[in-house]
Amino acid sequence: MEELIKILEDVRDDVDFANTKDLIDGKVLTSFDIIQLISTLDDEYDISIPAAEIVPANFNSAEAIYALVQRLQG
Amino acid sequence: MSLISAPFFIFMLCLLGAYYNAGEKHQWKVLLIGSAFFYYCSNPIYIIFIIISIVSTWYLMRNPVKSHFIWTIVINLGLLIIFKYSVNFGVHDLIAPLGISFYTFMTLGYAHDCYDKKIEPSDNIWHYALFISYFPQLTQGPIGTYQEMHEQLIKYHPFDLQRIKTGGYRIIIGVFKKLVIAGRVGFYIDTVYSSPKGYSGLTLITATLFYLVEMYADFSGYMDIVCGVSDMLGIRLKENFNRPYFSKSIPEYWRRWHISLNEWFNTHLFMPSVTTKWNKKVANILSKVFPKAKKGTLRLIVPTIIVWIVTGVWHGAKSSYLGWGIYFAFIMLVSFCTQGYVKKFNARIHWNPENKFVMAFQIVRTLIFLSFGEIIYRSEKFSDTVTIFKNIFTDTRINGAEIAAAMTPFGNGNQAAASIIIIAVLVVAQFIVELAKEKDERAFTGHRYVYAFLMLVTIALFGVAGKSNFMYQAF
Repeated sequence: MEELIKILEDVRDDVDFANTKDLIDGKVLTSFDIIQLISTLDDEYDISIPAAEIVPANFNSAEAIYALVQRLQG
Repeated sequence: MSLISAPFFIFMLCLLGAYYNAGEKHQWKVLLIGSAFFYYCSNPIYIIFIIISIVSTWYLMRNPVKSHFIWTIVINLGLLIIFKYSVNFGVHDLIAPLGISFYTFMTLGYAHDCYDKKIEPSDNIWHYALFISYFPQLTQGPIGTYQEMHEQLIKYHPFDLQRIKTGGYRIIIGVFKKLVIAGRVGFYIDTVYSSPKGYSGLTLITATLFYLVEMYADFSGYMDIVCGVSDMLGIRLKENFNRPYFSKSIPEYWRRWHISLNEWFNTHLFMPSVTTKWNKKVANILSKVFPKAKKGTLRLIVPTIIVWIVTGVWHGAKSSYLGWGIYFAFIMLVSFCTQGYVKKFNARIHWNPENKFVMAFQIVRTLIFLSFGEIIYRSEKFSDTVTIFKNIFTDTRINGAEIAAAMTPFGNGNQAAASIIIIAVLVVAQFIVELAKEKDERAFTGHRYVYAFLMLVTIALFGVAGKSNFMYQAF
């Protein structure tokens, strides 16, 4: 989880990823940020996030993103 | 059936009567019959093509496997391409079925969402038929999603006078934007753009700025009318505009203009392209050429080019539309690729993005880049685009006679000046009204009666009769 937070902070250093729960619904992250994030996650965790998974529920919080990564790794 | 016509008014009266008198179980059926009647009156023979699309898509997507999804794309995109583009190659001279672009987008969006398991396929073909054919959004959008629309459409909506009032008010705003604002400035733009060669830079700049006004007034006016009509039926359509000309960058502008189309492209073409394996490979190759660039940014390049070329060509098989698409692909890419550097640069020169002057500068800059794109789009041919750009930057004459000549559609001399002042006042008034609407969306307070009355008077006095075709209807 800590590693993921670090990755997220690389994408946007002005967001409190540990506590924000509405990254998408609250329009905190832009689609540009999400693409940067997807690209980094793909490379760091050796996964391939499909377009169908790019929904608010999977990106609203660090926990949700973590769960998505784990699911795709498994 | 034009939305600004006596037959449509009568149609709405009959529909509202039947709709609110139908029982709980039958209300949505009234809407389906009304929509079918609307389509039949507008485009009788072509109703067959929307029926083919509805039946085939509904049937195939009941079981949303890959082969069915591909067949749905082939059938729907095939019909769209046949009607939209073959006419350019002299294959036939048929006109395209009403709203084919928009219902094809809705159909493909539905099929894609079923295939991705984001939604449950519709189990009732009549419900699905209503989702695709719902008459307010059929002709020019907004492109509704199944998630947003289907429950609203089949739910029972009891009569509510407040809704009729707010809907009616919004319709008046739309008619006003279309007939008074878009209709008047349209004359000037047509005159200048039909043969731009002899005009000075100033005249061409004025015509281009008027074109921005016309596009917004025409298209958002149409949206006001259909949203108002739908409000009267208790059904909320997606908002397609969010004051786009106040955007601080071109990417932001495209999030605030024709929102439903841009969201559609984002969900169904851009994001799927970004996440494909081949795009990842392209980004890996590009990262060898640009080792300092972020991989995420490199993954944006090909999808951005694809989306913008498709968006350009979607407007029609014309070189100016393709040029417009390439122009915006370029601007978007420059914006994406320089985002990091711009942020650092702004921080270094203590440029505060919240400062009002900074924001004004960004808004004006966006409007200039947008205008360049719209010059490409509006030009009849490529040589005209070159002429317009050349004259804007080299012909600095201030030629009173020329401006007066271009203004003749407004009237002569003082009459023309008066018309222009009235238009300017109305545009400002319109903006103020929209701000008021934003603060108080549903309430219908006294001042709105006064404003509605003033708008009706202005429509009667200044409305351009016979100009009730909307720009996007052609797509």
